[in-house]
Order: sequence, then C-alpha cells, then structure tokens
Amino acid sequence: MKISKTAAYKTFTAPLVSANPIAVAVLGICSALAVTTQVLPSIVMMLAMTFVLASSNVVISLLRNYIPKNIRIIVELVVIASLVILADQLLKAFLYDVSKQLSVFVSLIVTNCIIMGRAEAFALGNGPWLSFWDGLGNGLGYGYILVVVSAFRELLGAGTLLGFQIVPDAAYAAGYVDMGLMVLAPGVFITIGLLVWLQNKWTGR
Amino acid sequence: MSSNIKSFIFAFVMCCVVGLLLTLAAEGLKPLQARNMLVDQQKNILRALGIMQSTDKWSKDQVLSVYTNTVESIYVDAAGSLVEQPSDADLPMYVIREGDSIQRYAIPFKAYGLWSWIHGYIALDGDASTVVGMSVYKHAETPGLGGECDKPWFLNQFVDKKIRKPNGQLVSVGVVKGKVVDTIASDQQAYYVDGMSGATITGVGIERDLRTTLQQYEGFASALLKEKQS
Repeated sequence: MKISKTAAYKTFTAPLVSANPIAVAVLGICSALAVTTQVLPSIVMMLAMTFVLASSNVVISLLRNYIPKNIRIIVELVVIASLVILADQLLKAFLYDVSKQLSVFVSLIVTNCIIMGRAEAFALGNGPWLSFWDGLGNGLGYGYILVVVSAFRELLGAGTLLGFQIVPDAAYAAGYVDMGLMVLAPGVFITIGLLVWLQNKWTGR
Repeated sequence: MSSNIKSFIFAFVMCCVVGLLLTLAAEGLKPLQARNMLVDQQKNILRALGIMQSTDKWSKDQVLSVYTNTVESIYVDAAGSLVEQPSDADLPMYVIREGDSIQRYAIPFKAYGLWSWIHGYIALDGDASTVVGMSVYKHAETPGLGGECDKPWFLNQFVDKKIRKPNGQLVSVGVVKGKVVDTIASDQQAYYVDGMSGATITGVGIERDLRTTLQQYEGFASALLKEKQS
C-alpha cells in the first residue's frame, strides 16, 4: 500500500492544509497574535505546541475507555495542563532566553482551543496511533502558520530574520524605514487575513 | 460500583500520578533553572555596567567568569556605609573597583508601568551623576508599546545622561512623551530620554520609580563624592 493511502498519512496531512487549525478553522489566534513578532519564539512555540498536542492526544486516547464520562473534560484538562507545565519547565531549563520571551504564552497553551478541540473531537474516538499523527499534524499546521506570519513580521517590522539583519544598512541610509505596524497586533490580523485568503483561493473553498 | 465512586477513584489516582510526575520533573530541572536565572541576573548587571554590550552573545561560563572577576556585590545602609551582615532595610549594589576607589556601580530598580513591575539595573559612574548604562530583565508590558522598555534603542539612550545638576541636586532621568529634541530646552536635554510611543504610562512609571530608587541611594552617593574630594 502506498504511504499516501494510509489512514495515518491522511490524518497527518489534513490539518496541514485542508483543515488547518488557524487558516481554516481560525482557532488559536490569541497566541498567534502574541508570539509572532520574531521567528525564533514562533519556532519554539510550534515545538512546544506540537509536543503538548501530540502527547495529550496519545495519553487521552490511551485512557479513552477508562475515563468516566462525567469528569471527561476535567481529566482532559489535567492531562493537558500537566504536559504544558512540563514543557514550560523544560524550556526554563534548556532555552531560558526564549522562555523569557514567550513568558506567559507557554502556560497559556493550556487554554489553546486547538488542544482541547482535538482531544474532544479526535482522541476520544480514535486509537493512540492515529491520535498521535492527528496531534502532530495539528501542531505543525498551527506552527508553520506562526512561522510564516512571524517571518513576514520580523522582516518587515525589524528588517531581520532569526535576529540576523537582512535589510542592508545602505537601504536605511537611503531612507528605508521599518514598518512599525507589523510589530503591533494589527500586523498579524493583516498577515493572517491574507494567508486565509490565499489558502481558500488555493484549496478552492 | 456506582459511577460516582468510579469517578472519584479515577480522579484521585490521576491526581497522585500527575502530581508525582510533575514534582519529579520540577525537582530534577531545578539546578539547571537556578543556574540560568543566576546567569541572566549577572548578564543584566554586566550590561548595565557597560561591560557587556546588548549585541554580545556570551556563553554561560563566560558570563559567570567575567562577573566573578570584575563585579563585587555589596550592601550599604541608608547613610551609605558598607554593611557586612545585610538586613532587609539595607540596599544591595554591584560595584567595580579600580584599586580601592569605586569606578562604577549598578543598583537594582523596579518601576511600576501600566500592567506590571519592570525590573532592571541602572549603573552610574564613580562621579555618582553620569549614567553608564541601564538594563531591564523582567516586565509584562504590552509587546511593541511599553514592551519596548527592554529594547536596546530605549535603554541605550540612558548612557551618558546626568542624574544630577552641576550644583549637586538630584533630578534623575526623565522620560518625555515624544522626542527629547522637540520638547526639552537644549541645556536640559542631558536629563531626559525619548519616550516610547503609545506607552506614556510605562514611561511615567519608569521616571517616577527611578527617581525614588536613586533617592534611596543618595546617602551612598554623597559619601562617595566626599571620599573622592578628600
């Protein structure tokens, strides 16, 4: 069987394009606004989010036949919150500067509706293998939009990418000015709006 | 077994397992985190003192060794004399000596902006009136507006500003709304820096609490000046 025919492949790729959590479902916008002023924090946010999403999906999927129905949401939240605390602690230990930059937004992954949404909509009804791919796909689908948006914002707003200066000094000397708007919140709305439009144009919705 | 009892048991077991795992993770990572925090603090003191530039990328060991070799951490009381056994009322500071005399010193400050306490260090020259640098290491102001207070463009403005009139009176450094060149008379510009656009309250907070902090250290400053004169 070709790899593109497997259920895991389909589960993984759907949230990357056709069911993208940000561009199609417009979920998780709050953190997308906050962390995308630079590329590096966006990449770390993508990794943290993917880690939490994939692991929470697997854990909840493994427990799905044992979780009592009446405390289902609480159990899901406890699993998600624990994983987020773990991710936060790991960042503080190994990537301190980036964790300072992300500050409260790592802990706020708990409230990211993508995670709860995938737990409810997918992990409770599917096995751990598929749930893992669903989590991975959604995490990366969320993350790559973040990285694309932040690349635009950092390049236009500060003239750098990953902290390296891209716009040459000569351009500044000739009167080029960084676009301050891109660093502020409206910059994200404009960029994400354009991305959503491109995406829908491309997938023909 | 009724479903309620099953729920309770499930919740109880889950709490125990999760609590244990998180405790293990937090305890296991604590030494690494404490070291990161120490390096971060020392890095900010070195930045304020002008030893490390904001563009420098030093390794953790480099920061620790430079700090240990150059900076001395001391406490003074309100009158400005050295305290061996610090109490809560005494003031911390970080000094660089050249021979016996203090060449420059950094003092920690915290200022309340719009949403949060802004923590940082301001370093002064041995003349107790020229700013040699400032750093901000913790705040929760709006990114892009008040959040600019930890950016080099804002902090670097403080370098070479004066906190004292030639007659010795403490005026601190003011944060103006807009640009200094547009609003302040040219003979007063040494006491002001440009504000952050869209963040008037953050600027007002920094100006107010910076002055309060510097006032607390006036005892030390006058003792230092007297020592230099004699």
